Amino acid sequence: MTRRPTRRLVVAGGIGLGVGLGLIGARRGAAWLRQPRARVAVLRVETYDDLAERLFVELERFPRALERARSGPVVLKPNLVEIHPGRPINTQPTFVVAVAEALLRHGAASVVVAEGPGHTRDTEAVLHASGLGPLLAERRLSFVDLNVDDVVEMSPPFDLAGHGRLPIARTVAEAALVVSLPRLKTHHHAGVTLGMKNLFGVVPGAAWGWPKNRLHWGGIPESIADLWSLLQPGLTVADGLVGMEGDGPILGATRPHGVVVLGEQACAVDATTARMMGMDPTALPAFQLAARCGGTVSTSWIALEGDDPVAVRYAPAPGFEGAVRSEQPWPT
Amino acid sequence: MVAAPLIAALRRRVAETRNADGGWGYLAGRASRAEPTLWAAAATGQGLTWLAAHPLGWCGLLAPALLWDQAPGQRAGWLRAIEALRGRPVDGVEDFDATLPGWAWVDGTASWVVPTAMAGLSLLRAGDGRAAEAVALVANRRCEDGGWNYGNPRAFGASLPAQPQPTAWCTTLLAAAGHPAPLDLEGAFSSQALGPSSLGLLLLAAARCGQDTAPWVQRLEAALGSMAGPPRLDHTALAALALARAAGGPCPLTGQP
Repeated sequence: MTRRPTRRLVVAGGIGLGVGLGLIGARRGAAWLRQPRARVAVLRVETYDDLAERLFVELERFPRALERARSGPVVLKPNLVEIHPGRPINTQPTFVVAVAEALLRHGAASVVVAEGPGHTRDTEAVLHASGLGPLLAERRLSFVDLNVDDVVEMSPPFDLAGHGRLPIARTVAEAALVVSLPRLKTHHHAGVTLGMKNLFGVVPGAAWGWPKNRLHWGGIPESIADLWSLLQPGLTVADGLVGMEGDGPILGATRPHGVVVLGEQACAVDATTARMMGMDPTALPAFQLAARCGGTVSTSWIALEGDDPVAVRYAPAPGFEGAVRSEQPWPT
Repeated sequence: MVAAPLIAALRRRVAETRNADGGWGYLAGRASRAEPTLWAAAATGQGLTWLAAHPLGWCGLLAPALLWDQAPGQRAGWLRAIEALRGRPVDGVEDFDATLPGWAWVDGTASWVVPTAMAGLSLLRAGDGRAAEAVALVANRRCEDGGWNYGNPRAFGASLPAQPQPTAWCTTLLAAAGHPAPLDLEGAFSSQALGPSSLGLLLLAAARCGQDTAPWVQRLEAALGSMAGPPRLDHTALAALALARAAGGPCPLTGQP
Protein backbone atom coordinates (compact mmCIF):
# COMPACT_ATOMS: atom_id res chain seq x y z
CA MET A 1 0.00 0.00 0.00
CA THR A 2 1.34 3.48 -0.75
CA ARG A 3 0.19 7.02 -0.69
CA ARG A 4 -2.35 7.06 -3.45
CA PRO A 5 -2.06 10.18 -5.52
CA THR A 6 -5.25 11.07 -7.30
CA ARG A 7 -5.09 11.64 -11.02
CA ARG A 8 -5.42 15.37 -10.37
CA LEU A 9 -2.50 15.20 -7.95
CA VAL A 10 -0.33 13.29 -10.41
CA VAL A 11 -0.99 15.74 -13.22
CA ALA A 12 -0.73 18.77 -10.96
CA GLY A 13 2.41 17.40 -9.43
CA GLY A 14 3.88 16.82 -12.84
CA ILE A 15 3.02 20.31 -13.98
CA GLY A 16 4.31 21.82 -10.78
CA LEU A 17 7.49 19.83 -11.00
CA GLY A 18 7.92 20.84 -14.61
CA VAL A 19 7.46 24.52 -13.81
CA GLY A 20 9.82 24.23 -10.86
CA LEU A 21 12.45 22.44 -12.87
CA GLY A 22 12.04 24.97 -15.64
CA LEU A 23 12.73 27.78 -13.19
CA ILE A 24 15.78 25.92 -11.96
CA GLY A 25 16.87 25.50 -15.55
CA ALA A 26 16.39 29.20 -16.21
CA ARG A 27 18.52 30.07 -13.22
CA ARG A 28 21.21 27.60 -14.23
CA GLY A 29 21.07 28.63 -17.85
CA ALA A 30 20.97 26.61 -20.99
CA ALA A 31 23.52 24.13 -19.62
CA TRP A 32 20.76 22.37 -17.67
CA LEU A 33 18.93 21.69 -20.90
CA ARG A 34 21.87 19.82 -22.34
CA GLN A 35 21.76 16.11 -21.70
CA PRO A 36 24.47 13.53 -22.20
CA ARG A 37 24.43 12.00 -25.64
CA ALA A 38 23.18 8.45 -25.53
CA ARG A 39 22.82 5.68 -28.08
CA VAL A 40 19.87 3.32 -27.98
CA ALA A 41 19.39 0.33 -30.24
CA VAL A 42 15.97 -0.98 -31.19
CA LEU A 43 15.58 -4.52 -32.42
CA ARG A 44 12.42 -5.83 -34.06
CA VAL A 45 12.10 -9.35 -32.71
CA GLU A 46 9.31 -11.81 -33.45
CA THR A 47 10.22 -14.68 -31.11
CA TYR A 48 12.67 -15.56 -28.38
CA ASP A 49 14.27 -18.14 -30.68
CA ASP A 50 17.82 -17.31 -31.78
CA LEU A 51 17.76 -14.21 -29.59
CA ALA A 52 21.17 -15.04 -28.11
CA GLU A 53 22.72 -14.97 -31.59
CA ARG A 54 21.02 -11.67 -32.44
CA LEU A 55 22.06 -10.11 -29.15
CA PHE A 56 25.65 -11.32 -29.57
CA VAL A 57 25.84 -9.29 -32.78
CA GLU A 58 23.97 -6.24 -31.49
CA LEU A 59 25.95 -5.98 -28.26
CA GLU A 60 28.98 -5.07 -30.32
CA ARG A 61 27.39 -1.63 -30.59
CA PHE A 62 28.26 -1.09 -26.93
CA PRO A 63 32.00 -1.77 -26.48
CA ARG A 64 32.19 -0.01 -23.12
CA ALA A 65 29.67 -2.38 -21.62
CA LEU A 66 31.47 -5.36 -23.09
CA GLU A 67 34.79 -4.14 -21.73
CA ARG A 68 33.25 -3.90 -18.26
CA ALA A 69 31.76 -7.37 -18.67
CA ARG A 70 35.20 -8.79 -19.38
CA SER A 71 36.76 -6.96 -16.43
CA GLY A 72 34.76 -8.53 -13.60
CA PRO A 73 31.49 -10.04 -12.37
CA VAL A 74 28.38 -9.39 -14.45
CA VAL A 75 25.01 -9.29 -12.73
CA LEU A 76 21.86 -9.70 -14.78
CA LYS A 77 18.89 -8.19 -12.97
CA PRO A 78 15.57 -9.39 -14.40
CA ASN A 79 12.14 -8.42 -13.12
CA LEU A 80 10.74 -11.32 -11.09
CA VAL A 81 7.69 -10.47 -9.03
CA GLU A 82 4.89 -13.00 -8.82
CA ILE A 83 3.13 -15.54 -10.97
CA HIS A 84 -0.28 -14.93 -12.49
CA PRO A 85 -0.94 -17.27 -15.40
CA GLY A 86 -1.35 -15.42 -18.66
CA ARG A 87 -0.02 -12.10 -17.38
CA PRO A 88 3.36 -10.87 -18.70
CA ILE A 89 4.67 -9.79 -15.31
CA ASN A 90 8.20 -11.19 -15.25
CA THR A 91 11.11 -10.94 -17.66
CA GLN A 92 10.94 -14.00 -19.89
CA PRO A 93 13.38 -16.70 -18.73
CA THR A 94 14.57 -17.40 -22.28
CA PHE A 95 15.28 -13.68 -22.66
CA VAL A 96 17.41 -13.67 -19.50
CA VAL A 97 19.39 -16.69 -20.64
CA ALA A 98 19.84 -15.24 -24.13
CA VAL A 99 21.45 -12.11 -22.67
CA ALA A 100 23.64 -14.23 -20.40
CA GLU A 101 24.83 -16.41 -23.23
CA ALA A 102 25.52 -13.46 -25.51
CA LEU A 103 27.66 -11.82 -22.84
CA LEU A 104 29.53 -15.03 -22.10
CA ARG A 105 30.30 -15.41 -25.80
CA HIS A 106 31.74 -11.90 -25.66
CA GLY A 107 34.12 -13.05 -22.94
CA ALA A 108 32.27 -11.93 -19.82
CA ALA A 109 34.34 -12.84 -16.76
CA SER A 110 31.35 -14.38 -15.01
CA VAL A 111 27.58 -13.98 -15.16
CA VAL A 112 25.06 -14.44 -12.38
CA VAL A 113 21.36 -13.73 -12.44
CA ALA A 114 20.11 -11.87 -9.38
CA GLU A 115 16.83 -10.48 -8.13
CA GLY A 116 15.14 -9.53 -4.89
CA PRO A 117 11.43 -10.12 -5.47
CA GLY A 118 9.47 -7.35 -3.81
CA HIS A 119 6.26 -9.15 -2.93
CA THR A 120 6.78 -12.81 -2.17
CA ARG A 121 9.36 -13.98 0.35
CA ASP A 122 9.45 -17.42 -1.27
CA THR A 123 12.03 -16.79 -3.96
CA GLU A 124 12.45 -20.51 -4.58
CA ALA A 125 8.77 -20.79 -5.44
CA VAL A 126 8.66 -17.87 -7.85
CA LEU A 127 11.90 -19.01 -9.48
CA HIS A 128 10.46 -22.44 -10.07
CA ALA A 129 6.98 -21.35 -11.13
CA SER A 130 8.31 -18.73 -13.53
CA GLY A 131 10.51 -21.29 -15.25
CA LEU A 132 13.59 -19.18 -14.64
CA GLY A 133 14.99 -21.46 -11.95
CA PRO A 134 14.88 -24.66 -14.00
CA LEU A 135 16.25 -22.92 -17.08
CA LEU A 136 19.15 -21.39 -15.16
CA ALA A 137 19.93 -24.80 -13.68
CA GLU A 138 19.83 -26.37 -17.14
CA ARG A 139 22.23 -23.77 -18.51
CA ARG A 140 24.43 -23.85 -15.39
CA LEU A 141 23.85 -20.23 -14.54
CA SER A 142 23.79 -19.19 -10.91
CA PHE A 143 21.07 -17.21 -9.17
CA VAL A 144 21.52 -14.88 -6.21
CA ASP A 145 18.56 -13.93 -4.03
CA LEU A 146 19.30 -10.27 -3.45
CA ASN A 147 16.72 -10.10 -0.66
CA VAL A 148 19.08 -11.95 1.68
CA ASP A 149 22.37 -10.81 0.21
CA ASP A 150 24.95 -9.02 2.31
CA VAL A 151 24.19 -5.31 2.49
CA VAL A 152 26.29 -2.32 1.48
CA GLU A 153 25.00 1.10 2.57
CA MET A 154 25.33 3.57 -0.29
CA SER A 155 24.44 7.24 -0.61
CA PRO A 156 22.57 8.30 -3.75
CA PRO A 157 24.27 11.36 -5.25
CA PHE A 158 21.13 13.54 -5.25
CA ASP A 159 19.07 11.84 -2.51
CA LEU A 160 15.79 13.06 -3.94
CA ALA A 161 13.77 10.67 -1.78
CA GLY A 162 15.54 11.69 1.41
CA HIS A 163 16.59 8.19 2.39
CA GLY A 164 20.13 9.35 3.09
CA ARG A 165 21.59 5.91 2.58
CA LEU A 166 20.20 2.96 0.66
CA PRO A 167 20.84 -0.67 1.55
CA ILE A 168 22.14 -2.26 -1.65
CA ALA A 169 22.80 -5.95 -2.20
CA ARG A 170 26.54 -6.52 -2.18
CA THR A 171 26.42 -8.68 -5.31
CA VAL A 172 25.15 -5.65 -7.22
CA ALA A 173 27.34 -3.09 -5.46
CA GLU A 174 30.48 -5.03 -6.32
CA ALA A 175 29.59 -5.98 -9.89
CA ALA A 176 31.74 -4.79 -12.77
CA LEU A 177 28.64 -4.60 -14.94
CA VAL A 178 25.00 -4.53 -13.87
CA VAL A 179 22.56 -5.33 -16.65
CA SER A 180 18.95 -4.27 -16.06
CA LEU A 181 16.52 -6.64 -17.80
CA PRO A 182 13.07 -5.15 -17.42
CA ARG A 183 9.88 -6.19 -19.10
CA LEU A 184 7.91 -3.44 -20.85
CA LYS A 185 5.03 -2.66 -18.52
CA THR A 186 2.82 0.19 -17.51
CA HIS A 187 2.80 1.02 -13.81
CA HIS A 188 -0.03 2.20 -11.58
CA HIS A 189 2.10 4.70 -9.67
CA ALA A 190 4.99 5.53 -12.03
CA GLY A 191 3.37 5.38 -15.46
CA VAL A 192 5.85 2.85 -16.78
CA THR A 193 8.20 0.36 -15.15
CA LEU A 194 11.33 -0.24 -17.19
CA GLY A 195 15.09 -0.42 -16.65
CA MET A 196 15.31 2.19 -13.91
CA LYS A 197 12.30 1.05 -11.85
CA ASN A 198 13.64 -2.51 -12.16
CA LEU A 199 16.41 -1.45 -9.78
CA PHE A 200 14.02 -1.54 -6.81
CA GLY A 201 14.88 -5.22 -6.63
CA VAL A 202 18.48 -4.57 -5.57
CA VAL A 203 17.33 -3.27 -2.19
CA PRO A 204 17.26 -6.36 0.05
CA GLY A 205 13.92 -7.26 1.55
CA ALA A 206 15.74 -8.45 4.68
CA ALA A 207 16.55 -4.78 5.21
CA TRP A 208 13.40 -3.02 3.97
CA GLY A 209 10.69 -5.69 3.92
CA TRP A 210 8.18 -7.16 1.50
CA PRO A 211 7.21 -4.91 -0.19
CA LYS A 212 10.03 -2.37 0.10
CA ASN A 213 7.56 0.20 1.26
CA ARG A 214 10.18 2.67 2.38
CA LEU A 215 11.00 3.30 -1.27
CA HIS A 216 7.35 4.23 -1.79
CA TRP A 217 7.22 6.56 1.19
CA GLY A 218 10.21 8.45 -0.15
CA GLY A 219 8.31 8.93 -3.40
CA ILE A 220 8.36 6.34 -6.16
CA PRO A 221 9.68 8.71 -8.87
CA GLU A 222 12.29 10.04 -6.44
CA SER A 223 13.38 6.54 -5.46
CA ILE A 224 13.59 5.52 -9.12
CA ALA A 225 15.85 8.46 -9.91
CA ASP A 226 17.95 7.88 -6.79
CA LEU A 227 18.56 4.19 -7.52
CA TRP A 228 19.37 4.85 -11.15
CA SER A 229 21.74 7.74 -10.46
CA LEU A 230 23.44 5.71 -7.72
CA LEU A 231 23.89 2.41 -9.57
CA GLN A 232 23.95 3.49 -13.23
CA PRO A 233 23.73 -0.02 -14.70
CA GLY A 234 26.15 -0.25 -17.59
CA LEU A 235 23.66 -1.95 -19.87
CA THR A 236 19.89 -2.17 -20.11
CA VAL A 237 18.20 -4.73 -22.33
CA ALA A 238 14.43 -4.41 -22.24
CA ASP A 239 12.19 -7.39 -23.01
CA GLY A 240 9.43 -6.01 -25.18
CA LEU A 241 8.40 -9.01 -27.24
CA VAL A 242 5.24 -9.04 -25.16
CA GLY A 243 4.57 -6.16 -22.80
CA MET A 244 1.88 -5.25 -20.31
CA GLU A 245 -0.60 -2.41 -20.70
CA GLY A 246 -3.34 -0.96 -18.56
CA ASP A 247 -3.17 -1.29 -14.79
CA GLY A 248 0.36 -2.64 -14.56
CA PRO A 249 2.69 -3.91 -13.25
CA ILE A 250 0.67 -6.89 -12.02
CA LEU A 251 -2.96 -6.53 -13.06
CA GLY A 252 -2.51 -5.27 -16.63
CA ALA A 253 -3.21 -7.02 -19.91
CA THR A 254 -0.95 -8.55 -22.52
CA ARG A 255 0.32 -6.20 -25.23
CA PRO A 256 2.30 -7.84 -28.05
CA HIS A 257 5.02 -5.48 -29.20
CA GLY A 258 7.89 -7.39 -30.78
CA VAL A 259 10.86 -5.27 -29.71
CA VAL A 260 14.02 -5.39 -27.69
CA VAL A 261 15.50 -2.05 -26.66
CA LEU A 262 19.05 -1.79 -25.40
CA GLY A 263 21.66 0.74 -24.50
CA GLU A 264 24.30 1.77 -22.01
CA GLN A 265 22.21 4.45 -20.28
CA ALA A 266 19.07 3.13 -18.63
CA CYS A 267 17.34 6.52 -18.60
CA ALA A 268 17.75 6.91 -22.36
CA VAL A 269 16.65 3.33 -22.99
CA ASP A 270 13.61 3.86 -20.79
CA ALA A 271 12.74 7.18 -22.44
CA THR A 272 12.90 5.58 -25.87
CA THR A 273 10.91 2.59 -24.69
CA ALA A 274 8.27 4.79 -23.07
CA ARG A 275 7.82 6.62 -26.38
CA MET A 276 7.47 3.29 -28.11
CA MET A 277 4.71 2.47 -25.62
CA GLY A 278 2.87 5.61 -26.66
CA MET A 279 3.85 7.67 -23.61
CA ASP A 280 5.65 11.00 -23.34
CA PRO A 281 8.47 10.44 -20.83
CA THR A 282 8.84 14.17 -20.24
CA ALA A 283 5.36 14.06 -18.70
CA LEU A 284 6.37 11.38 -16.17
CA PRO A 285 7.91 12.54 -12.87
CA ALA A 286 10.50 9.75 -12.73
CA PHE A 287 12.00 10.87 -16.04
CA GLN A 288 11.90 14.52 -15.06
CA LEU A 289 13.84 13.68 -11.92
CA ALA A 290 16.23 11.34 -13.69
CA ALA A 291 17.04 14.12 -16.14
CA ARG A 292 17.83 16.32 -13.18
CA CYS A 293 20.27 13.59 -12.09
CA GLY A 294 22.03 13.59 -15.45
CA GLY A 295 19.82 11.24 -17.41
CA THR A 296 19.02 11.62 -21.08
CA VAL A 297 15.35 11.90 -21.90
CA SER A 298 15.15 14.28 -24.84
CA THR A 299 15.11 12.83 -28.33
CA SER A 300 17.59 15.57 -29.26
CA TRP A 301 20.28 13.73 -27.33
CA ILE A 302 19.36 10.12 -28.10
CA ALA A 303 20.78 8.54 -31.23
CA LEU A 304 18.68 5.62 -32.37
CA GLU A 305 20.28 2.63 -34.07
CA GLY A 306 19.12 -0.71 -35.34
CA ASP A 307 15.61 -1.22 -36.62
CA ASP A 308 12.89 1.38 -36.99
CA PRO A 309 11.26 1.96 -33.59
CA VAL A 310 7.61 1.20 -34.19
CA ALA A 311 5.40 2.67 -31.51
CA VAL A 312 2.53 0.62 -30.14
CA ARG A 313 -0.17 2.43 -28.25
CA TYR A 314 -0.29 0.89 -24.75
CA ALA A 315 -3.39 1.54 -22.70
CA PRO A 316 -2.03 3.73 -19.91
CA ALA A 317 -2.31 2.97 -16.23
CA PRO A 318 -5.17 4.84 -14.54
CA GLY A 319 -4.18 8.44 -13.90
CA PHE A 320 -1.57 8.57 -16.64
CA GLU A 321 -3.85 9.32 -19.55
CA GLY A 322 -2.27 12.78 -19.68
CA ALA A 323 1.11 11.26 -20.51
CA VAL A 324 -0.13 9.56 -23.65
CA ARG A 325 1.41 11.14 -26.71
CA SER A 326 -1.05 12.46 -29.21
CA GLU A 327 1.65 12.33 -31.89
CA GLN A 328 4.21 9.65 -32.31
CA PRO A 329 7.77 10.36 -33.43
CA TRP A 330 7.76 7.11 -35.37
CA PRO A 331 5.36 5.13 -37.58
CA THR A 332 2.61 3.23 -35.76
CA MET B 1 5.24 -39.94 10.94
CA VAL B 2 8.09 -37.46 11.05
CA ALA B 3 11.49 -39.08 11.20
CA ALA B 4 13.34 -38.03 14.34
CA PRO B 5 16.73 -38.49 12.65
CA LEU B 6 15.77 -35.91 10.06
CA ILE B 7 14.89 -33.37 12.74
CA ALA B 8 18.13 -34.10 14.54
CA ALA B 9 20.11 -33.77 11.32
CA LEU B 10 18.53 -30.41 10.58
CA ARG B 11 19.31 -29.11 14.06
CA ARG B 12 22.85 -30.43 13.74
CA ARG B 13 23.28 -28.70 10.39
CA VAL B 14 22.18 -25.43 11.96
CA ALA B 15 24.47 -25.85 14.96
CA GLU B 16 27.46 -26.67 12.78
CA THR B 17 27.11 -23.56 10.64
CA ARG B 18 27.17 -21.04 13.45
CA ASN B 19 29.58 -18.18 12.83
CA ALA B 20 32.50 -17.34 15.09
CA ASP B 21 30.68 -14.25 16.35
CA GLY B 22 27.86 -16.41 17.68
CA GLY B 23 25.27 -15.62 15.04
CA TRP B 24 24.15 -17.14 11.79
CA GLY B 25 24.08 -15.88 8.24
CA TYR B 26 21.41 -16.66 5.68
CA LEU B 27 23.94 -19.01 4.11
CA ALA B 28 26.81 -20.84 5.76
CA GLY B 29 29.88 -18.63 5.96
CA ARG B 30 28.01 -15.38 5.32
CA ALA B 31 27.78 -12.48 7.73
CA SER B 32 25.55 -13.00 10.76
CA ARG B 33 22.07 -11.52 10.36
CA ALA B 34 19.09 -11.13 12.67
CA GLU B 35 16.55 -13.35 10.91
CA PRO B 36 18.60 -16.54 10.52
CA THR B 37 20.04 -16.08 14.01
CA LEU B 38 16.52 -15.75 15.42
CA TRP B 39 15.32 -19.00 13.84
CA ALA B 40 18.57 -20.77 14.68
CA ALA B 41 18.31 -19.66 18.30
CA ALA B 42 14.80 -21.07 18.47
CA ALA B 43 16.00 -24.37 16.98
CA THR B 44 19.21 -24.75 19.00
CA GLY B 45 18.92 -22.56 22.08
CA GLN B 46 22.11 -20.77 21.10
CA GLY B 47 22.76 -17.31 19.67
CA LEU B 48 20.92 -15.39 22.36
CA THR B 49 23.99 -13.32 23.20
CA TRP B 50 24.37 -12.28 19.56
CA LEU B 51 20.71 -11.27 19.41
CA ALA B 52 21.02 -9.20 22.57
CA ALA B 53 23.99 -7.33 21.14
CA HIS B 54 22.65 -6.46 17.67
CA PRO B 55 19.75 -4.38 16.32
CA LEU B 56 17.01 -6.71 15.18
CA GLY B 57 14.88 -4.40 13.04
CA TRP B 58 11.65 -6.09 12.01
CA CYS B 59 12.95 -9.38 13.43
CA GLY B 60 12.34 -7.84 16.81
CA LEU B 61 8.62 -8.25 16.12
CA LEU B 62 9.08 -12.02 16.11
CA ALA B 63 11.69 -12.43 18.84
CA PRO B 64 9.28 -12.74 21.80
CA ALA B 65 7.15 -15.29 19.96
CA LEU B 66 10.12 -17.54 19.20
CA LEU B 67 12.29 -17.01 22.27
CA TRP B 68 9.94 -16.14 25.12
CA ASP B 69 11.05 -19.06 27.28
CA GLN B 70 14.70 -19.04 26.21
CA ALA B 71 15.45 -15.39 26.92
CA PRO B 72 13.36 -14.07 29.83
CA GLY B 73 15.88 -11.31 30.45
CA GLN B 74 15.26 -9.80 27.03
CA ARG B 75 11.46 -9.81 27.15
CA ALA B 76 10.96 -6.29 28.41
CA GLY B 77 13.30 -4.78 25.85
CA TRP B 78 11.69 -6.68 23.01
CA LEU B 79 8.18 -5.62 24.00
CA ARG B 80 9.27 -1.98 24.14
CA ALA B 81 10.96 -2.28 20.74
CA ILE B 82 7.79 -3.64 19.17
CA GLU B 83 6.15 -0.25 19.61
CA ALA B 84 8.84 1.44 17.49
CA LEU B 85 7.59 -0.40 14.41
CA ARG B 86 4.03 0.83 14.51
CA GLY B 87 2.71 1.38 11.01
CA ARG B 88 1.94 4.84 9.69
CA PRO B 89 -1.62 5.61 8.70
CA VAL B 90 -2.27 6.00 4.99
CA ASP B 91 -4.76 8.43 3.48
CA GLY B 92 -7.14 7.77 0.68
CA VAL B 93 -7.26 3.99 0.86
CA GLU B 94 -10.51 2.66 -0.49
CA ASP B 95 -10.14 -1.10 -0.29
CA PHE B 96 -9.82 -1.70 3.47
CA ASP B 97 -9.79 0.06 6.84
CA ALA B 98 -6.47 1.88 6.91
CA THR B 99 -7.25 3.41 10.31
CA LEU B 100 -6.61 0.12 12.11
CA PRO B 101 -3.23 0.22 13.83
CA GLY B 102 -0.68 -2.41 12.91
CA TRP B 103 3.01 -2.97 12.43
CA ALA B 104 5.48 -2.21 9.66
CA TRP B 105 8.62 -3.74 8.22
CA VAL B 106 10.54 -0.49 8.68
CA ASP B 107 9.84 2.44 10.99
CA GLY B 108 7.91 5.24 9.36
CA THR B 109 6.15 3.07 6.79
CA ALA B 110 2.72 1.49 6.45
CA SER B 111 1.34 -1.56 8.26
CA TRP B 112 1.47 -4.92 6.48
CA VAL B 113 -0.07 -8.23 7.46
CA VAL B 114 3.11 -10.27 7.97
CA PRO B 115 4.90 -7.93 10.40
CA THR B 116 1.54 -7.35 12.11
CA ALA B 117 1.01 -11.08 12.49
CA MET B 118 4.55 -11.47 13.84
CA ALA B 119 3.91 -8.72 16.38
CA GLY B 120 0.56 -10.24 17.27
CA LEU B 121 2.08 -13.64 17.97
CA SER B 122 4.72 -12.07 20.17
CA LEU B 123 2.18 -10.00 22.07
CA LEU B 124 -0.08 -13.03 22.56
CA ARG B 125 2.87 -14.95 23.95
CA ALA B 126 3.47 -12.08 26.34
CA GLY B 127 -0.17 -11.80 27.35
CA ASP B 128 -0.08 -8.21 26.10
CA GLY B 129 -3.40 -6.58 25.23
CA ARG B 130 -1.98 -4.99 22.10
CA ALA B 131 -2.35 -8.40 20.48
CA ALA B 132 -6.01 -7.58 19.89
CA GLU B 133 -4.98 -4.73 17.57
CA ALA B 134 -2.93 -7.12 15.47
CA VAL B 135 -5.82 -9.57 15.30
CA ALA B 136 -8.20 -6.80 14.25
CA LEU B 137 -5.98 -5.60 11.42
CA VAL B 138 -5.30 -9.10 10.15
CA ALA B 139 -9.00 -9.94 10.22
CA ASN B 140 -9.78 -6.79 8.25
CA ARG B 141 -7.22 -7.54 5.52
CA ARG B 142 -8.52 -11.00 4.70
CA CYS B 143 -8.92 -11.66 0.97
CA GLU B 144 -12.18 -12.71 -0.57
CA ASP B 145 -10.90 -16.25 -1.06
CA GLY B 146 -10.34 -16.58 2.70
CA GLY B 147 -6.57 -16.20 2.82
CA TRP B 148 -4.20 -13.25 2.91
CA ASN B 149 -2.14 -11.42 0.35
CA TYR B 150 1.05 -9.62 1.37
CA GLY B 151 -0.81 -6.40 2.08
CA ASN B 152 -4.31 -5.77 0.84
CA PRO B 153 -7.36 -7.86 0.05
CA ARG B 154 -8.05 -5.64 -2.94
CA ALA B 155 -5.92 -3.29 -4.98
CA PHE B 156 -7.03 -0.83 -7.66
CA GLY B 157 -10.49 -2.33 -7.66
CA ALA B 158 -9.38 -5.92 -8.16
CA SER B 159 -9.71 -8.74 -5.66
CA LEU B 160 -6.28 -10.16 -4.84
CA PRO B 161 -5.55 -13.86 -4.34
CA ALA B 162 -4.23 -15.33 -1.13
CA GLN B 163 -0.49 -15.97 -0.97
CA PRO B 164 1.02 -18.86 1.02
CA GLN B 165 3.27 -17.15 3.53
CA PRO B 166 1.01 -14.25 4.52
CA THR B 167 -1.83 -16.75 4.86
CA ALA B 168 0.28 -19.00 7.05
CA TRP B 169 1.27 -16.16 9.38
CA CYS B 170 -2.23 -14.76 9.67
CA THR B 171 -3.86 -18.15 10.12
CA THR B 172 -1.45 -18.98 12.92
CA LEU B 173 -2.17 -15.68 14.66
CA LEU B 174 -5.93 -16.00 14.43
CA ALA B 175 -5.85 -19.60 15.61
CA ALA B 176 -3.63 -18.68 18.53
CA ALA B 177 -6.10 -15.95 19.43
CA GLY B 178 -8.95 -18.44 19.42
CA HIS B 179 -10.48 -17.76 16.02
CA PRO B 180 -11.40 -20.55 13.60
CA ALA B 181 -9.28 -21.08 10.51
CA PRO B 182 -10.97 -19.41 7.53
CA LEU B 183 -9.27 -21.46 4.86
CA ASP B 184 -8.39 -25.06 4.10
CA LEU B 185 -4.68 -24.58 3.62
CA GLU B 186 -4.04 -27.70 1.62
CA GLY B 187 -6.96 -26.99 -0.66
CA ALA B 188 -5.73 -23.47 -1.22
CA PHE B 189 -2.06 -24.14 -1.92
CA SER B 190 -1.57 -27.82 -2.75
CA SER B 191 -1.08 -27.13 -6.45
CA GLN B 192 1.38 -24.26 -6.06
CA ALA B 193 5.13 -24.51 -6.21
CA LEU B 194 6.35 -23.80 -2.69
CA GLY B 195 9.81 -23.46 -1.21
CA PRO B 196 10.83 -24.84 2.18
CA SER B 197 10.04 -21.59 4.02
CA SER B 198 6.43 -21.55 2.81
CA LEU B 199 6.07 -25.26 3.53
CA GLY B 200 7.43 -24.86 7.05
CA LEU B 201 5.12 -21.95 7.84
CA LEU B 202 2.09 -23.70 6.35
CA LEU B 203 2.91 -26.79 8.39
CA LEU B 204 2.97 -24.71 11.55
CA ALA B 205 -0.28 -23.00 10.60
CA ALA B 206 -2.00 -26.30 9.81
CA ALA B 207 -0.86 -27.77 13.10
CA ARG B 208 -2.02 -24.72 15.05
CA CYS B 209 -5.53 -24.78 13.66
CA GLY B 210 -6.01 -28.55 13.68
CA GLN B 211 -5.73 -29.21 9.96
CA ASP B 212 -3.97 -32.24 8.51
CA THR B 213 -0.20 -31.76 8.67
CA ALA B 214 0.80 -34.91 6.79
CA PRO B 215 0.73 -33.34 3.30
CA TRP B 216 2.94 -30.48 4.48
CA VAL B 217 5.35 -32.85 6.19
CA GLN B 218 5.70 -34.87 2.99
CA ARG B 219 6.24 -31.84 0.83
CA LEU B 220 8.69 -30.25 3.24
CA GLU B 221 10.76 -33.43 3.51
CA ALA B 222 10.80 -33.71 -0.27
CA ALA B 223 11.79 -30.07 -0.66
CA LEU B 224 14.65 -30.43 1.80
CA GLY B 225 15.94 -33.41 -0.12
CA SER B 226 15.80 -31.79 -3.53
CA MET B 227 17.11 -28.30 -3.00
CA ALA B 228 19.60 -27.03 -5.52
CA GLY B 229 22.37 -24.88 -4.14
CA PRO B 230 23.39 -24.35 -0.53
CA PRO B 231 20.46 -24.48 1.91
CA ARG B 232 19.29 -21.34 3.67
CA LEU B 233 20.03 -21.65 7.38
CA ASP B 234 16.84 -19.86 8.44
CA HIS B 235 14.87 -22.32 6.31
CA THR B 236 16.75 -25.25 7.84
CA ALA B 237 15.99 -24.04 11.37
CA LEU B 238 12.35 -23.39 10.50
CA ALA B 239 12.06 -26.86 8.99
CA ALA B 240 13.49 -28.45 12.15
CA LEU B 241 10.98 -26.56 14.30
CA ALA B 242 8.05 -27.27 12.01
CA LEU B 243 8.79 -30.99 11.72
CA ALA B 244 9.25 -31.22 15.49
CA ARG B 245 5.86 -29.59 15.87
CA ALA B 246 4.33 -32.14 13.53
CA ALA B 247 5.93 -34.88 15.62
CA GLY B 248 4.08 -33.64 18.69
CA GLY B 249 6.26 -30.86 20.00
CA PRO B 250 5.01 -27.39 20.99
CA CYS B 251 4.32 -24.68 18.47
CA PRO B 252 7.50 -22.58 18.28
CA LEU B 253 5.48 -19.42 17.56
CA THR B 254 2.98 -19.69 20.39
CA GLY B 255 4.45 -22.10 22.92
CA GLN B 256 1.11 -23.89 22.92
CA PRO B 257 0.81 -27.66 22.47
